[in-house]
Amino acid sequence: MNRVVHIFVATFLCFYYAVWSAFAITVEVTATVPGCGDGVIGIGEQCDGSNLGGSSCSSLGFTGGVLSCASLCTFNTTQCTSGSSGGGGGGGGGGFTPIPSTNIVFTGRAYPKSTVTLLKDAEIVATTVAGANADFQVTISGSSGGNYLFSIYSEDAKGARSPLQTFPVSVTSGVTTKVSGIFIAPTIILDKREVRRGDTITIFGQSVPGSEVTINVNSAEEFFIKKPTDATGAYLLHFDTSVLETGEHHARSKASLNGEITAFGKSAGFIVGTKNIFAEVPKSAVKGDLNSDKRINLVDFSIVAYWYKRLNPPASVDFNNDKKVDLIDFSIMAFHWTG
Amino acid sequence: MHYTLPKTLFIFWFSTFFFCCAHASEIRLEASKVNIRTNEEFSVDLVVSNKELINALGGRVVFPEALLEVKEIRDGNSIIHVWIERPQLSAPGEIVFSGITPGGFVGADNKVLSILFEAKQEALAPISVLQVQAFRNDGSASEIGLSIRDTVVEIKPGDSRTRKEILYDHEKPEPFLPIIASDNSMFNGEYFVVFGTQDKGSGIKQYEIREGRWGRYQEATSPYHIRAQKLNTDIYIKAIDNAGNERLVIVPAPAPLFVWKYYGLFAILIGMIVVATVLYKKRHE
Repeated sequence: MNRVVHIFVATFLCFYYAVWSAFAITVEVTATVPGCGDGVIGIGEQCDGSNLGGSSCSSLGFTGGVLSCASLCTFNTTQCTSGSSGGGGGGGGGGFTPIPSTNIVFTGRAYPKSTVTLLKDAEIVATTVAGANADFQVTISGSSGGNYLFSIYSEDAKGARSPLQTFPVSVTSGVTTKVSGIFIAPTIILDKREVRRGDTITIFGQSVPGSEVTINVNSAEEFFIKKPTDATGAYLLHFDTSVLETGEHHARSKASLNGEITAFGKSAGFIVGTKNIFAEVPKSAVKGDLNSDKRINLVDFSIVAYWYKRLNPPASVDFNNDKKVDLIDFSIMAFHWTG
Repeated sequence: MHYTLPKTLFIFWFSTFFFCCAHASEIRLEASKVNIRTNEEFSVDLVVSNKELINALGGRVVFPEALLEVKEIRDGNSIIHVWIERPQLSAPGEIVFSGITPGGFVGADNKVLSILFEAKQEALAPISVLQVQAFRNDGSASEIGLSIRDTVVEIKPGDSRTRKEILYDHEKPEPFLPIIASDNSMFNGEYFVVFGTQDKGSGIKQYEIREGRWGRYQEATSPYHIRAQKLNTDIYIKAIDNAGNERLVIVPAPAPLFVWKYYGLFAILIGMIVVATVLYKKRHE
């Protein structure tokens, strides 16, 4: 009996020391300041650096692969596989026939050294950084066959975000699908929210270096002005507002290069009035970013959905200020979606 | 010569009309079968064709409940990616739906949903879509008008055997990444988990959740109010499609109990106790 007691006590002490040591390490880690990039998974973060919180491709529902952490502290599942395992084995000597992987390759142009984010069915699946010439390529693997709607956007050096560009893609299992020629529309920023009529408003943004940007100022008479981008992809226009009527106006831009042309990007509004009011620094993901994580995704959607058709919704979820949350508010949120 | 002018004008007008309306934005109902008999299953797809980006869509599908019985509502491969109101029977003879597609969709023949009906009685059964709302992906939710094309199915007498329309689906729902969050306007500021995915085959039937390693799964919708507010248990979330395929995702506990974090060490301890006990008993037998 004494021997059993001794074994038990010894085991317990070993375990207690091991746990205490580990627990002490845990206490050390949790004492760090929270935030993405600190190696600690905080609330709202799925991972942080090499810390995956014990998750793997398998625990996330994939069949295999390597899970990593993206720069926004979200899981990067591009190297996870999800196809159904087919029957292996070739004929003859019982050799194994590898199942060809399903890949989708996206190539195009964004802004120099900008982060390009790819969404699959409204969820982030990959991010990449464009080159100095604004070219980018991103590949995702392991998707099942089917019809998907991919969306892509980029953020320029000043934090202005392009609108979502969507691509319906029909994916066949075991086949590499290429989507090329993506040309993300320029960003646009105004230096003033309101400008005294006759003064100058500065319109600037970013696109591909060496491209030509067409800036459209919407008025009773529409103005189209062309400006080249510099080596960093930046363009700038000083617009004389003496040609505009007093009131609300909008500006937008598109780029062209080597015969390729983008759609118009986001529209920026300003007022021609009696005084100059300078614009604040553009903030990413303001409208619809209800939890202030600089993203508009399912979390924000869930908050808005909670107030759908309920009385007296808070102003923060009523994007068009009509005292109710309906499909219109969701449409506005969907426009600003970041995943 | 003057007799050819009206003819020319007619051809010009007809061509203009054709190209205009053939490519107009529309929402329509398409039945999978033309000839339907009683006790036979058939599906009706709700399809949108549009020339401008639409990012929000909602409406109602109505049908005579005495003539048609809904067997299944499928959202597999739907152009709608995030449902506000997942398609479901809101009242007898009525299916309501609404949702968004971030970034918008455009083009011909975008499927929104599919309804599997069983014909019950011989009759003409009209199926209509009402109160349609569609908004442009322009940041200000300007409404876009969609022309509506309903459908009518003719049900003829059949025998008593039920003829099923089978959809083969062996693929799991798409992988997804649930997120734990909190907001002062919901659940008294307590933690909840949001989740959602798509199924490219038969469509999502339901989600089930289990908090912790043991216990039973229960049906759940997003957002789900977490019971274990200390966030010390793993959360298991299943997406189940209409064909029964399941995708399981485990959300690791952000603040696990150390007994679960170091369960391996506990297992070793218990194992050693068992070994010690067995050795003791053997020695004294």
